Amino acid sequence: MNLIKFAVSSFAVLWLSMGAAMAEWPDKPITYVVSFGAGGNADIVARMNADVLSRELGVPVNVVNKPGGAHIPATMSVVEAPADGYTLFNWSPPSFMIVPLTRETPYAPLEDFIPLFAGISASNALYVRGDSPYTTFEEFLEGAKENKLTIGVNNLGAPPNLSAVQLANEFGLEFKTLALKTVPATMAGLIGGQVDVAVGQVASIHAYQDGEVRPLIILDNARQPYMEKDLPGVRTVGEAFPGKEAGVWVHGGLAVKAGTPQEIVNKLLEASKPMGEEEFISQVPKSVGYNWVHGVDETTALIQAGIDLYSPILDGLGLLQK
Amino acid sequence: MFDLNALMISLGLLADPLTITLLVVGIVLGIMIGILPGLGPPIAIALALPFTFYMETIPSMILLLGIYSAAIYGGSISAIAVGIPGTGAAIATVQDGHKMFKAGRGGEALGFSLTGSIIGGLFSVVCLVVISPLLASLAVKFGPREYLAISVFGLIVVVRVAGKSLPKGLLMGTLGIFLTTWGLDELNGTERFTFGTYHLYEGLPLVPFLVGVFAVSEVLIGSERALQKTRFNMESLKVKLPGLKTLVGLKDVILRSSIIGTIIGIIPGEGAAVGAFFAYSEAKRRSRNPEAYGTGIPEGIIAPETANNATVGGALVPTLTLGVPGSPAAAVLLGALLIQGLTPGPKLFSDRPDLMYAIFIGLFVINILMMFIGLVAIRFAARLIMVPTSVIVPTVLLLSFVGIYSVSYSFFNVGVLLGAGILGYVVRKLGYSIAPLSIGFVLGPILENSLRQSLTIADGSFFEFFNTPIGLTIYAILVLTILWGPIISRFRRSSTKV
Repeated sequence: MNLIKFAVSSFAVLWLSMGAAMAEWPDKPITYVVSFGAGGNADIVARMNADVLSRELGVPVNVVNKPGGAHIPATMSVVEAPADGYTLFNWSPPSFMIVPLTRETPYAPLEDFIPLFAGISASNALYVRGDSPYTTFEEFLEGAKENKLTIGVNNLGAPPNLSAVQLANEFGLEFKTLALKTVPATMAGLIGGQVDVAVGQVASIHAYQDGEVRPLIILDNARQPYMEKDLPGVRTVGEAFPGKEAGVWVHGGLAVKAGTPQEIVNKLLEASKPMGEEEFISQVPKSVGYNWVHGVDETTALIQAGIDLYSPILDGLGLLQK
Repeated sequence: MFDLNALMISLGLLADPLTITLLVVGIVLGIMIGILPGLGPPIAIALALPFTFYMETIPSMILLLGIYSAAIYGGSISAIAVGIPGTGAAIATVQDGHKMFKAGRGGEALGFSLTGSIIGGLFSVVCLVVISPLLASLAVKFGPREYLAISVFGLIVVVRVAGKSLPKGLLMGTLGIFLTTWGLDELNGTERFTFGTYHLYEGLPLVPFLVGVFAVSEVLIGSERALQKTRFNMESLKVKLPGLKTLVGLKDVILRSSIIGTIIGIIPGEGAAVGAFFAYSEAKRRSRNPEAYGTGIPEGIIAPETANNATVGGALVPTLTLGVPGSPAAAVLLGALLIQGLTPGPKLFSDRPDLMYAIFIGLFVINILMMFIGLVAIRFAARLIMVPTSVIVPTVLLLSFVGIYSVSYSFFNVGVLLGAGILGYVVRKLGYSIAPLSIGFVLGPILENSLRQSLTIADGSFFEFFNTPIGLTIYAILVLTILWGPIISRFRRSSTKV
């Protein structure tokens, strides 16, 4: 008798509290999982996002860094959390694109997640030291055909590495590849003479004195408006060599677990609107690219475009997981 | 180079009441987080990061630098008073610090660690101010082959002096390295010892592992002993800062440790823990009676504590001048600069001379204020000896569980903490030392990465592999370090024969 009473009343309490949770989301702190270490570009923009969400939603939004392990531990920590809007995921090219395409993962990005928006973005460029004998991309090509040059990238399998591989394939070159962990460390390795040539980002140039490093070419197909701001007059591969492929896709943003109630998704979308406004974008560090895409369908389409771009590239390299 | 106008601007900003408040808040917060095992300087800075969104650049840097310096210092308080290092940086301080504390010289031990931290901190700031462009060029020269040399050097030197016997030390160092090979291979994605769980894809997490090996194993060992009342007299509770005469007597140790700490700080990726270990080993190796180390002597505290705070100024060199963080904590600091719209790199100081002066002067002020705030903190810490071990040790254990979980929200990491604790317990029970185990664990990833990248650079050529003047110098010093003792003793023997 008492047991039944207890069961009924606890069920009622549970049901009520669930109803209340739905109605009043959010009523407790939200966790924002970032699959990169603290201090990098992705982390900084994620913390800025968390700050906006916290202000708009009125609860603390705590960034938790879970770096490493091919981004799988971080991604899985969100997949294994309930779809209640209290665990958000900072998606990025490795977690949503390169890792699922190249190895077996216990998740499928577009099935297990609902992407809400994309903000952070980047294009890669090829740099040499200021005193390098290669003053143009053409001179570099000749030099790279004669000698096996050492190329610096941040991490193997990351977009700069894929750009380097594409460059080698399209122009028939061979490199020794050194992974130096981060883009600034790659550029420092270039200045220190650890590598002959480095794949950095278009915006990397801002950290260096005039003439310290020399951009040779932008490793992208079509010219984007923001490239002119960072590397005026530097051609893209697509401009200089029509027909050569140099596509990159570097975007990142926010996703929630699939199955999250529509009301919560809508509230999050509403709360994230300030991140597309000029006031926010002007706060984004100069060395970080930003390309705002907002809405579930729009962001899903953007990610699908990335998958369509990288699948054949990775297949050509024999890396595509089938 | 010298810009009086910028200097005046930065002085004006530093004298601002808000900046001064932040300075004090930063130091207090840093010491508190440093004391708690499981929470270290990178986490302390990351916690404060969101608050800097709304601040001007200079106050925000002052806050974060205060936290950084104080967190590294704070770790030594728990190392000395409880025998459990609050941060990785304080691991090397435990042995002598806690022994001295238990011997009824707690106030003195805490005084040595505070003084050493301040001197090391100030020394490295001077280096940062005077020769940072020169030092930056040193950091840039460190590629895979140079990393390999310094890691091999560090491992062998530390293992030789950290354990009681060389074979046992080497075995533990190897075990530490082996455990870092777990997880996904960074270069080709192969799974190594992942036991079918993605939780192990990133391998064993560093902080839970270290806290487990030190803190949890300490609790397990302690639980076996009947609780003894520690004898002390009220005199020993008094915090005593070492007098000038004592410091002059220790000047060689202090100077060497300051230099070691600063250099290790400059080398990207090597943090305060490595600097402290190096300095401790070097002090012990140079000592006339190395057997005294580990029994509770001032040198065993002042060497690692001077060095770990000296890594702060050192780590800022590549962070500010190259945009490459010199330590994990500096990586978060770098992020704070990016948030301020600044691009750390060779251009930073010419673009913002006022920031340069503010950081330099700020670090001086932080170190001096830390002296006073630290004195208050250790007054309480010295009294901890009156709290029974049966209360304090479980409290610290609980705090380390909370610390580990709150940083990662991961029960897996709590499991690693426990597992590492049991490992540490077994290792100690078998008569091995956990210091070489932890240094192997800290240096393992750098060692593996730099070895494999050096092999890529060498491309099969033996000559290319050793074609590194800096690396060869390090190897040469290593050989001399090992052979110096035997050579000297042989020389002495032959001369006595004559």
